[in-house]
Amino acid sequence: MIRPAIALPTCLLVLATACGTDFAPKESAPTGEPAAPLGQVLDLDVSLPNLSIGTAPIRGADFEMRLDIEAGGERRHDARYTAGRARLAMGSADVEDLSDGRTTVTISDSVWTTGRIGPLRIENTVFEVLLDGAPADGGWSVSGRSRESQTTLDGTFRGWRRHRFLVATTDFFSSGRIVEVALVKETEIRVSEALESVSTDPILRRTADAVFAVNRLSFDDLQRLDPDRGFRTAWQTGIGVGANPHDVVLVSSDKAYATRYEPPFNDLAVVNPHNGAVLSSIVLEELAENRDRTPRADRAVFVEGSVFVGLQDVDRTFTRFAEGKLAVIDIDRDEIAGVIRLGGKNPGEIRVVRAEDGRAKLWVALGGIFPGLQQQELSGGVVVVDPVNRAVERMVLDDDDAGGNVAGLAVASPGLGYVIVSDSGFRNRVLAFDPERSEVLRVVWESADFIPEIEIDGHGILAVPDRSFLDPRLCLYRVPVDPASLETPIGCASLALPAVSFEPLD
Amino acid sequence: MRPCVPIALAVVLPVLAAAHGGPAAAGNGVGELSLDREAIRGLLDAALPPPATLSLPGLPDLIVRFESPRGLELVDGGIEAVLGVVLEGIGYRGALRVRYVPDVERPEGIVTLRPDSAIPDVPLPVALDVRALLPAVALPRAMSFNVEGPQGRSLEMTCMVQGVEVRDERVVVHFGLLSRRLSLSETAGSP
Repeated sequence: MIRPAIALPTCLLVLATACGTDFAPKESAPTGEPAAPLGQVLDLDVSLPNLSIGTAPIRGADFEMRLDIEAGGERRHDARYTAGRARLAMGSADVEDLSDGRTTVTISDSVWTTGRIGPLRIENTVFEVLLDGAPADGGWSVSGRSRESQTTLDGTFRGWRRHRFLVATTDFFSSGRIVEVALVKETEIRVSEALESVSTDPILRRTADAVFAVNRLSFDDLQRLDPDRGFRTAWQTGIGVGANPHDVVLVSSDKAYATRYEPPFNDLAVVNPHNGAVLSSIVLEELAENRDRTPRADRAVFVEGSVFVGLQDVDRTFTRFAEGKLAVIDIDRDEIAGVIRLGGKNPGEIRVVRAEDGRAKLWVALGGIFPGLQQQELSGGVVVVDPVNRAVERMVLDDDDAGGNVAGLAVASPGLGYVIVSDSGFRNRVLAFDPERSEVLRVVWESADFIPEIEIDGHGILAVPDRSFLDPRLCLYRVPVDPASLETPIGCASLALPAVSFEPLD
Repeated sequence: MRPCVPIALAVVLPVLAAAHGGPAAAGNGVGELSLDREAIRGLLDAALPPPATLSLPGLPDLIVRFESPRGLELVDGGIEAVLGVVLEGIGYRGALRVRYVPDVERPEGIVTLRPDSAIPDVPLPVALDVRALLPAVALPRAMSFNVEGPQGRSLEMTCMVQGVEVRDERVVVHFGLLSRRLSLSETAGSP
């Protein structure tokens, strides 16, 4: 029997004759270069009060500089700089770089210094600059002395690490684009639109120092983006027609895994991160308990030497849900090393949260059953899993208390979490919750529009997408240190297309 | 990453979310295709290999030729077909009872009927692993076609074969079905 009547004659015909058109990955425009590891960006304000400009009796110049610090190196990193316009006592002038735009930055807990920057030229004055300072705020800001070669006298500089969110935007129909939203100098929001094209159904994933777009069902490919080339595509490779990849996790420079959600794949593919080639398959069907034995491998994380894969355990018709699980994968043998039962249904987001003692825990959002094909079932919430003992430790939020299905999760600290909750009327809220007391603290955001995910970067910036049809945005908040305090709105970035997936890069 | 959300939720999303947008990862639906014996016979017949020439020590070159299934039974989750087999060069003509079982070729994810055993009705005159000469019957991975959807809009429908099952007196092909509204340029370029 065929349920979709329209498919019957055509599928029969095609199957019987064994012909038809197979899907192929979209043609990409790769750079052909290997992707560089993800570095960091600093915005600097440099003040050189003694610099003499030209023949006029003008002294002093202030200018902005962007520093792209590469990931490699123990303490000393290669970096690229870009100088903005200089502000002079009378007007402004271009800062021209007479060099190759490259320098070095030495970073430790107490030291932050650059190698030679320049030669630079402002009008007819040519000089070089050295910056010598100290990091503060956990490395998120820096300040110190700036010394120019003309007078060898000191000025000052300040720098702020940029908060970057790489955003996949899509209309779900004809267009998907990568956009960067950055919080510059802790105050200014900048948007870099259309950095790269992706499918109309993308998931962005930052894993270790790599960035991927995972193009899901019917596109079925991985697209590695190169941070050093403005997130252009380094390569884009299909990983199985109809595989519906849902996530990718890098475990070493030579090995990655991708979850393949759809039958007959039902597995974790072992992938070469240099070109996307699928090397082998770790079949997960034996862990599924639904009638079709479809594990529905979704999210994957790498922690404590193992990969943990969320299994939604839903049948082919998406009407029968078994208990959600985490598959534990031995990355040396590429085989299943265990399974953790989660005590609820439909696991989605998995966050690695480190306690003050440095021990990692997995926080897993359990969605329960969303209303639609079946009645809404609030059988989930947020649970904490010990990856070493491979057991659920506790539930830190019950979806009954949250008032709806938990559709997303971000964790600021072990004492403050955020969830996306969707109620029976499809009203969506971002809630702050207290994991220690398992209680909702407040509503941060509320919308009738679908909220695909929320993210918090490494320094407490919460990003919430607004998928408003007329004015899609990504809104940023500063997360409070005291969970009882409110989030501080920073502002919203207007986007050309609504965000569907995004990742903090810093 | 998001948990699975059923399609009914996705359809409230703008544009064509039901096709492949938002949190619904399921696509548009699933289906089953039941194949009767004639269809199965045709499937197995189409997958038979062309005649193969073998060189065996002390023997003239053998040409191995398989002939269309003569009989077919569905037994214990597998298909048992009786194929004719001819070894040209030594004048052997007989029959093989070949058992095909559902399988998936990995990591490519190709759904197949894999020859699991091949037993000749009369012992072969030479030591020959005829099962190894029979390729698995690979089902097409995906098929797409255009249909006219609501309000005259062109839809691209894609069937993706997800599995095959032998049950009762049927071979059931499971497939997922995905629809995607075509843009104007795609419609214009579609055959």
